[in-house]
Amino acid sequence: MQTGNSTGVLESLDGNICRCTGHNSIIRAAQKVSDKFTSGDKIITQSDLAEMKIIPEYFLTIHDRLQNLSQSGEGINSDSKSYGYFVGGGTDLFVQRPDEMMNSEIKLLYNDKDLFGIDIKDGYCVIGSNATVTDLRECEILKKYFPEFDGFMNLFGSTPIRNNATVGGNLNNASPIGDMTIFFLSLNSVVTLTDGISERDVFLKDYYLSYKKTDRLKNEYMKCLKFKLPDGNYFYNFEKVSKRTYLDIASVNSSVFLKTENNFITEIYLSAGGVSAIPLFLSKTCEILTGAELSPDNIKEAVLTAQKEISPISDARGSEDYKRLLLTRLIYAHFLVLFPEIFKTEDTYERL
Amino acid sequence: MKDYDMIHHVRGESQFIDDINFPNGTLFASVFYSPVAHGKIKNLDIDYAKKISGVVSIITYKDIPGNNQIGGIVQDEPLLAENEVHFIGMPVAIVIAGTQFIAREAVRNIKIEIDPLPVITDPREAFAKGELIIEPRIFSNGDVDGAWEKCDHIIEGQCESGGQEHLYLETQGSFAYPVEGGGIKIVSSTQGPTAVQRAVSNVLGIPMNKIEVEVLRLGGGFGGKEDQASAWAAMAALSAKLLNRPVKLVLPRHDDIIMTGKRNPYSSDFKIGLTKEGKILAYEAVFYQNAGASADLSPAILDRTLFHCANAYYIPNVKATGYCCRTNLPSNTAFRGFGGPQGKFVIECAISKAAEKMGLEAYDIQKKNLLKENDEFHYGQIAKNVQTLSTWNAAEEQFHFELIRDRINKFNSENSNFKKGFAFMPICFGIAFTNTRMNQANALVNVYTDGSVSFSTAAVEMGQGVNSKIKEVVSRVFSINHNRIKSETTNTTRSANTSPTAASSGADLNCGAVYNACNKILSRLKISALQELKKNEKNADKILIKDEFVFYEGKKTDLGWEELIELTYAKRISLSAHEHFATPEIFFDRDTNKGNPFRYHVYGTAITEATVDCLRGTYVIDSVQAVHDFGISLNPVIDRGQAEGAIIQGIGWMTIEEIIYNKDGKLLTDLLSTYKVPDIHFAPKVMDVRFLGEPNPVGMFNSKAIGEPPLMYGIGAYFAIMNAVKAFRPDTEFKLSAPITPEKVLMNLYSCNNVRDAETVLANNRKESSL
Ligand SMILES: Cc1cc2nc3c(=O)[nH]c(=O)nc-3n(C[C@H](O)[C@H](O)[C@H](O)COP(=O)(O)OP(=O)(O)OC[C@H]3O[C@@H](n4cnc5c(N)ncnc54)[C@H](O)[C@@H]3O)c2cc1C
Repeated sequence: MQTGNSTGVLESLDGNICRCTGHNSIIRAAQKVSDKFTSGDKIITQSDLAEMKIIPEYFLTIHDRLQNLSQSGEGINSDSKSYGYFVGGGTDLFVQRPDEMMNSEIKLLYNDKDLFGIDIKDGYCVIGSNATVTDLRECEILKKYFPEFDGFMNLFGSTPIRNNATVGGNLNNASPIGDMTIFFLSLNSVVTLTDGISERDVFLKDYYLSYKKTDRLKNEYMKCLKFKLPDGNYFYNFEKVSKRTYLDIASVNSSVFLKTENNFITEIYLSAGGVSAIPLFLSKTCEILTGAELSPDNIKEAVLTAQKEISPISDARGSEDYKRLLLTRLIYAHFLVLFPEIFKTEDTYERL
Repeated sequence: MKDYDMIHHVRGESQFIDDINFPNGTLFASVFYSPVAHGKIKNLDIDYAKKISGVVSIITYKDIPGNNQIGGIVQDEPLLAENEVHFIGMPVAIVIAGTQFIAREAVRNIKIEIDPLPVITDPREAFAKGELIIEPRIFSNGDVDGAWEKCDHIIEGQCESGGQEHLYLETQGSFAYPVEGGGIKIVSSTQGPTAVQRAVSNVLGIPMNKIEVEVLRLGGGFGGKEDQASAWAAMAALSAKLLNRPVKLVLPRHDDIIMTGKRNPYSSDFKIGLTKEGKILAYEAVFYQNAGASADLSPAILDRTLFHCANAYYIPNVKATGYCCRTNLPSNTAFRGFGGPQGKFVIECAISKAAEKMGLEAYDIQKKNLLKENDEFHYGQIAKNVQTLSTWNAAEEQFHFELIRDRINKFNSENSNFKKGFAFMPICFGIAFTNTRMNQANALVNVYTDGSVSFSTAAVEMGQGVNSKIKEVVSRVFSINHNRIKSETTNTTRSANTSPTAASSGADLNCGAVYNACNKILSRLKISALQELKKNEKNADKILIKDEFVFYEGKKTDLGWEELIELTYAKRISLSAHEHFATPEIFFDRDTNKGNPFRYHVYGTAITEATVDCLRGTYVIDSVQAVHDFGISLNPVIDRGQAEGAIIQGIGWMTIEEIIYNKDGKLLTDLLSTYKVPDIHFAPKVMDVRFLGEPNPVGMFNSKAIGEPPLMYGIGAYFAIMNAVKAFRPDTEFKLSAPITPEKVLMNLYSCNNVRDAETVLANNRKESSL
């Protein structure tokens, strides 16, 4: 736990639900424990905690015992002929279909060394499909090129989920509202699929065919994701609105990447989740904006075009009307956040 | 001062139903429920499921030896569906198997054919079609009809409040096993052990004395296990009885959310009349309560709505009508506040709308109309020890209300993307079961020869710390250390004919019974001490036990607690007592709806502040600052925790906790990924609850009940958000519909005055969410 500040306290507790909603007492208690350790710069280890009898002794052996467990799992290279579920972090599969997983053949991808790592190769950033949200938030490449990414993904699940949820799982779950999916769509990423022998590349924007259906064949799995490292005058932003700000799935999310020259958009990729059966790349909207001047009128036109590209449904995360309105707001939000000197909030009130 | 149960919780040692070491041969139950909200069962096919290896039995209503009936207030609730189904989630058959996994698999393989009948989900539609569970209830005082012409302003409107899923972390569950002589013992996660005992007795057709119900503690109840634990206990008991084997039934979360009822949603009409100065002269409200498929506790909940419809205000002319409407949803049930919050929300809506129309501030109208000492409630009770104005003024002063207001006005004039709002929320909540006969409890106190003490009461520990409070009472009466005292489980053989731990009265009633039992023992100990000190036995008033020693005429003697106990035993004087407590001075006439139903009221005032992101429609609750009338708390740590937790739970109900059924009666928010309760980030950064500190002369050691009242401060969050939205869009015709989700906020911020209300949300025929 990051001690001594309230963010650290909150982060080490997020993901837990307290239905007595005693959050304030929990925060006070955790803060009290945390304060005990803030004398000087000393980093508190698990053994210190065990010594102080704050955690039981056996906690110290958990890590090793878990390590031993994972050795025994069946890897991807098993020569079984049937194709069961590929399991990344399992945060989706084991939550959505616990009973079915008990009886199904599973292929654990997390034993596959080839699927790890985040590197730069030939001007591309290559992300192994096993990279977790936490890996991505901590990696130097993303920190350098997309310093805001860390903040965006703070809205993804909770700390324990982020530590397990993989890029491969998020993209292949094919959920129309996957947060990483929407972000990487706006980087015009490419996925590399393999059947263990040969490989092929598909643009992420062409990967999704219909609800929860991708271009991936049954015997293929995703090896990695790659996108061109940006250069020049580029901008990016990610927006997510959900019923509960933290630890919730988006009602609508959206991501944008663009380059400009003299207030003209030279290149733009805009994506939106929760507004279609698939994670949507807003290609027509991008077309309209490519070459356009950064002006309120042009954004208004883009917003109207986006409305024609989407087909949201009413569900527990919002009515169709709401999702339409929300996407409009989020597209405006991109430009208000990125170009506050050009756009004013008042420019976006067309529905008033 | 600690909450003793917490030590076990923190160490992971506390036992819940699923932690009990079950004996060899225990079987596991899973419940097959109706997939259709209303219809006639044409065919139920259990043959295939029965053949799955590991399945021991599949039980339907035909197997029930007693009555297929678990209804409490009204006998309208079968345990298992017979020929008709009335809601999605209605239990139809119980599968018993060697493992939970097999039981669930068998449930998936049961087939049912149902001829559908029309489905009603909306209480107003149910009302229009005459689907009322009980006769309409009307509470009134003064002459509302005659009062309107004296009003300068009359404002009418409609408002909605939504349901709320209990989401107790421990789901419903019971473990039942046969005992000799044809009896059954049940360990149940229930707030009402006697309710379970009665239901099981009725279903099995055996007398109550053959049924022992034991409760260790609950992982939360919030009202959801006041009446609705009985079905699962009865199913486990039925299975155990029929198969003569131990049976465990613990609902998986998804089943629990689908099959059990929630807080009753209400749709309400209001009409309020005021003088031009803002004095309320008349108030009329009609409550359409969505009861679900059967009565459950809804009639009692409706009564509490009517009791609390005027909140903390004195209104000379009130008429409140309640309709208990039958719909094809799981029977809605008790939830912290028990109809009180639903009633209070409506009057606050009325005041807010009146303020808007009259160009006044809502808080001015609120303050002007606060209840005063000796005012008569519309149900005839005279208000005593009223703490409305005292808490309001204390809140204004201690939290510097004028600074808050000026700071918010300044913020709003300087910011266009973000707006802030605040609201006052005064509360007044009556303490006692409104069904007078339930206000009794009994307790057994044993003093052992080593000086240790145990107590057994009807109080069910569910994290609210009731046992720590009772322990405090034992410790004070005997004047001994806490570490000598132990709480026992709640058990129907030790405490018979109990009322559920509910209505915020668990501590009051059971502390009362324990107090009586301890005093009984204490008076015997005094006699014993007098004998030992060779004093006249008439001098009991000169004897005092203090800090574990006997004092005579104010002087400490050598006689200590342990010695006193030992020799009292030797004198063959009883060291145990079983005593009863009945709340005095309460009565209520259900024909005139007048009386003195409450022992006392709990008061307080909160100020809530919220910030709305007007670009995206999201919001944060920045602060809740309250002055609450705790009486003199028996345990300030517990009471603060209860108050803060209730406030956030109330805010959850008003903001993000949204229950959505589609028009086929299917619950769309049936998972934690779609039903969102407040999390740690959602908690207000500032939560400041202050103790008013006024003693409660009729409370145990001057204390007051705490469980429910502070939940209603959460209503302030609704109006704080609304006021922020209005700061952005003063012209908006705000639809009064809770919860005020980010969706409703955004629609109010931007759409052309046609925000859909809860009705259209229901009718919208939403689909299941993608994952
Ligand atoms: C509490 C909670 C909160 C969550 N919050 C969010 C959130 O905020 N935002 C969000 O986007 N999601 C969220 N999720 C959903 C989920 O965690 C993510 O989608 C996550 O990225 C899935 O990754 P995983 O590795 O756990 O996937 P898994 O569960 O292992 O797999 C998901 C799917 O992808 C397939 N798959 C996995 N890896 C590969 C591969 N390499 N090649 C081919 N197929 C593969 C699996 O077969 C499966 O169909 C949440 C889930 C939970 C339980």
